[in-house]
Amino acid sequence: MVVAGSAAAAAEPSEAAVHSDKFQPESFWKDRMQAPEDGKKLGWFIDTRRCFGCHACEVSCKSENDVPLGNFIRQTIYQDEGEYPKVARMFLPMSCQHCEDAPCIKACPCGALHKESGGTVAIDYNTCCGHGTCVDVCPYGAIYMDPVAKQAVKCHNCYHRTELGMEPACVPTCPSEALHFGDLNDPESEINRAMNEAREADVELTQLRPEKQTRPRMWFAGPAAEVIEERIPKEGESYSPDAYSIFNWKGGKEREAST
Amino acid sequence: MNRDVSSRRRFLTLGLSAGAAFAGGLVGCRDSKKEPSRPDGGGSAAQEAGAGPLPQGIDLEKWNRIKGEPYRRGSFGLMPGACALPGPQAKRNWPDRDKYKDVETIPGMCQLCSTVCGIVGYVKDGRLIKVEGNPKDPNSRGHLCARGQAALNHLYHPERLLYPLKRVGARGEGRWKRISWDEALDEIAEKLKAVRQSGHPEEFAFHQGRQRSKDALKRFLDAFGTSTQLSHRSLCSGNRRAANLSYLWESDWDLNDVEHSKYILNFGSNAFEAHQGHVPFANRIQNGRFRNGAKLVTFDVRLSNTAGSSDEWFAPFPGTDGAVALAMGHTILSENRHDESFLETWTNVSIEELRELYEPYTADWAERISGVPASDIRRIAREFAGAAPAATTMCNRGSSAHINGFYNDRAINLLNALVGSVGQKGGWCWSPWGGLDPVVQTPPMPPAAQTTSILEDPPEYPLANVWRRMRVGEIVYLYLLQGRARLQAYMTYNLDSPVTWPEESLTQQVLGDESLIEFHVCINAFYNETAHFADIVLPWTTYLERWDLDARASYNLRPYVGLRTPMIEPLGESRDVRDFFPELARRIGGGMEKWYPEQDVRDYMQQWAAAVPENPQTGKSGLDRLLDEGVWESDLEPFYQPFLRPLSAEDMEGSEVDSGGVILKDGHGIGIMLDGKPVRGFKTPSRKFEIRSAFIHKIGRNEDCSELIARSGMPRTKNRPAEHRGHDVEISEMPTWFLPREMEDLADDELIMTSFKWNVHNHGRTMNLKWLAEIVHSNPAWLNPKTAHQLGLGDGDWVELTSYYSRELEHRSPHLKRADLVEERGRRKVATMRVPIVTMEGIHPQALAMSNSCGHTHYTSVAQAKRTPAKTAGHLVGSDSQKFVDADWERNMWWEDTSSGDHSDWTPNTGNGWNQNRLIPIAPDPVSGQQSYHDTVISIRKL
Repeated sequence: MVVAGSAAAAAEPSEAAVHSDKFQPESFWKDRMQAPEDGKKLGWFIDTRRCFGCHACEVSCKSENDVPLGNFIRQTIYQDEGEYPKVARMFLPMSCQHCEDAPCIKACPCGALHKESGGTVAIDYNTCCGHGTCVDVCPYGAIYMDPVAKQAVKCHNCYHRTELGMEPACVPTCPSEALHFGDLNDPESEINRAMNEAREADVELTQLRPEKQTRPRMWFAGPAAEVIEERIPKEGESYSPDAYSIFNWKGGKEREAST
Repeated sequence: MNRDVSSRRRFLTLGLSAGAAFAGGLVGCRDSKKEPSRPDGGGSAAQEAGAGPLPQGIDLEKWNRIKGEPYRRGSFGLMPGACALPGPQAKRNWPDRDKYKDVETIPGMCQLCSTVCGIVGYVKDGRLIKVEGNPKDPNSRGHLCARGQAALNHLYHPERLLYPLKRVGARGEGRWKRISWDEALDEIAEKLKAVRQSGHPEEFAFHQGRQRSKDALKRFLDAFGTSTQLSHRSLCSGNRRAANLSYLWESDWDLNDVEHSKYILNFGSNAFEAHQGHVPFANRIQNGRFRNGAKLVTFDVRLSNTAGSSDEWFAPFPGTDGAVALAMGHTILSENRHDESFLETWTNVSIEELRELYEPYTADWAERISGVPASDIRRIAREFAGAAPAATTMCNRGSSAHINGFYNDRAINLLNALVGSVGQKGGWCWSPWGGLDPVVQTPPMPPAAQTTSILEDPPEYPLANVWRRMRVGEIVYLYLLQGRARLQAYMTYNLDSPVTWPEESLTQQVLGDESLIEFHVCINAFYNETAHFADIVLPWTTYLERWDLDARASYNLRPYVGLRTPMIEPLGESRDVRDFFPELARRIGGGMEKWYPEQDVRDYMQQWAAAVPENPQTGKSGLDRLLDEGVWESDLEPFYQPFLRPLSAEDMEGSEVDSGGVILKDGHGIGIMLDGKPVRGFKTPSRKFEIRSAFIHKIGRNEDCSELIARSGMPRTKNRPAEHRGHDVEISEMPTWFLPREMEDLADDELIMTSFKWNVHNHGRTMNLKWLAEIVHSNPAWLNPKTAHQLGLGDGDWVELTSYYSRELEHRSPHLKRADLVEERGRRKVATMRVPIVTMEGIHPQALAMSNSCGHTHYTSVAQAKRTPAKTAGHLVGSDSQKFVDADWERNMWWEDTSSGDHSDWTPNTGNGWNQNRLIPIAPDPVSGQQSYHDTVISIRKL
């Protein structure tokens, strides 16, 4: 369920909650949960009304980060809704949500997961040794274990680019201008401009799985987030190539009926 | 070994709380001989309740157990996609914070589809590390689609062609030896010299699939003296262009001003996934919708991503877009929602004539034919008219790649005239610049070759070549087979006809036949299906390794100049035509050499780009400016309402006005009088938007149109040549419509097969790119679930499809003589193919949709979805797979089909799909020659 604001959905506590049984003691991760202070609050705004599922963001990310085949830092999930002749297709571009209260940081047994300035949740590869507990607790399936290096990989807000004044690789390439990234503390930033434009058009800004209470730094406009939510991977899962199979583009109802 | 201090600090703060149950393999424990007291360092095993505290710290022992074998590397090093993550305690940074430091940015232009978006390449130590859109490109404005983002796969590929090849054994056997460029050019020159000497230079045909170096090709072919310059245009956009030309003459490409629109009425364009101008156009559509409040309505047989994102979607019966458009026009006229002023001033028919034309085309009529409810047809028409002049249609192969496609597009375009949005801001526009700003001029070109060939100008197709050379590419192999022409030499360039042309088996049959094509040279960057049937294969550079000046029709409605430049040294021995055509020309000699003065390519580019003006901020001009910025856009006013532009006194000097108000100078039309003032008007014979086109009717009948052409002021337009005598086609002067007769009585198990493109692929050239193939590699046939149910089919079932030849074409185009096709159920059978189906709500119940681009038999292991190349891949002598080892492909590729052809064993979304062109018959629209891709009658049988 997707709900604007902070009201949690009515779900079973064990399902809704993050898997805190895998968390390390707070003293272990408290420092790493604190982003180095530079006055910035980095966030994402995904306008799914504009997205038409072209996959440019995914391939740009693959190219930028040498993401191995079969694995995805970024993935756009399709879903068709409706019955002929009234059918629409929705697209949901997914990636790490850069949660303020990141369960992956809490669960990481070796201390590799941490925050970079601005709040980017990132991984220290000097430390990461492949426990995979982060994958177990991520409510969004945003982390994969590299098949060769066996280290955790996820979106890092392309900080190696942003430090040099560039944008994350997925943002400028988007032909429909659906992806917005930047400093939420800067009233002049492009992301604030885009979010305000949506608000002024009476468009609801939503977040994914707020019942997990991880305070993600990603907001969505458009119905796709709600429609596609149940297909987003869950704890213990990573983005899968199966999402691209045309047999899975169908709405939930149709998928049931045809099996 | 080094110890990471911060991790150690964390370890120490834990202290005793971790307890005795600490696992072994902690910080620095490689030296420790302690065995772990737990079998597993934590990982993904679930914690049992009360099992004790969780493990903590760096577990090197576990990591050493689980880590994979390092990637195999060739001498090139790691290929894109093989990420060298360091492992714990390796002290390397990832992502690399130094990646973009000391990097060169080099401009270029993409060529992975026809849109040609400006790009920027990041090069470090001679290696291209990333490609992005060039924000200075006025058309694409910095955006770049998935195809363009797969540039690194195209450039660095283990099976890319890097060395010239010569065939050993029979043609099509796939056995090759590597030869030197010297040897290759000598042999080619010898063969081409012989063609010239035979007195039949037209028997040397050049065939491009996609080219962006027009000057280089024309120079060579015109210097040689052959006009047999073949293309793929009729497979693509012949009808769309012909329909635009019939109204405008000046342009074959409508540029819908969607960014400023309030209403966008789409018939069969999939601009969010394809379309020439894809990224510039799609971006502006979204801006028009989300900034300007435009509504997007799409008519498409199948729910494309464009249709799926539209505000409304309707699925007309295939090929009935024109009927729906005519009915919309009927609503607009009968309810007096038309723009009377525009129609009376700027079209060459009266309102009365229009009402007469539209009279039978009611919404109820269109509903019976198309299935689209009459109430919706009327409503959409009213909305469209209400939004005018900021209202525009858009269309493409969905409406025009049909046997009746010319008339579909004529009907659609006419809607803009009815509501007066022609040339208006937010409306239906065009420009005279389909490419480079004419300020840039190449060094002197040879005079155009004057030969004729039935392959380049088939006499049966009136509109194929009269305005522009669109040709009828899809008849080439058939006419050769029928003995209507012969080829001594055939040079193919970036072409994959066995995959992209209709009737795969006929194409392969002809290409493999040395008596029909005596000598075949293939120029390509990869060994594709065309190369497989060649005698010599030349390794071509990619678009990232060569020079061009390039541009496309701009949605800013003014011209620009872009630059393609080598971002790195060409790999292996790959060379561009700009580089080796001069050498080849000199070896052929006989006067060709005089068009190739000694000059390196950069000098040629310098001359060509010389007129690019100076940027006052940087002081750079010409090629220097382009190398710096990538693109230069002219500051001409956008081409709105060009017909209102006044003619100057200088223009008018020596002119005369005829009784109809048309202004002529030296016998050529230059304008028209409007309220006593001379204006440019339209560049047509009537100087108006030609709803009634006397030209197309007369030219269909091989009548002389010299006077009409003179009045248009478009000297490029020509009468049909003498060879066309006797091949008359009735073309209606006024927009009309008909349904191909094969659609009329479909049996219960007969459907209309339509085709489509994917957003991650172009037609036939991208399946070898792993990041794109990963997303789409298979193409099950789409079927409406209700239709599937009626046929006893479920999602994922396998079927046998049988395709049939068009009855309409048997009637209208007897010269195609397909009597060889077996008769069955009252139709002529073309081919069969077995495919799985996927049930999708988003398709017309009487249609079946399959994509193109799949089913490669060559074109690298990636396009074949095979982890390792076949042992018989003899062409690999032309690659350097030892240097460019793609370990990511070898290790991580996941979609190989392991079923060995057993359908019951097939895992969905594995394998490389099926070539739809095996089924599609050669089916040119009798008017223009446009290949029909969306009209094929098929029967379907459960397996």
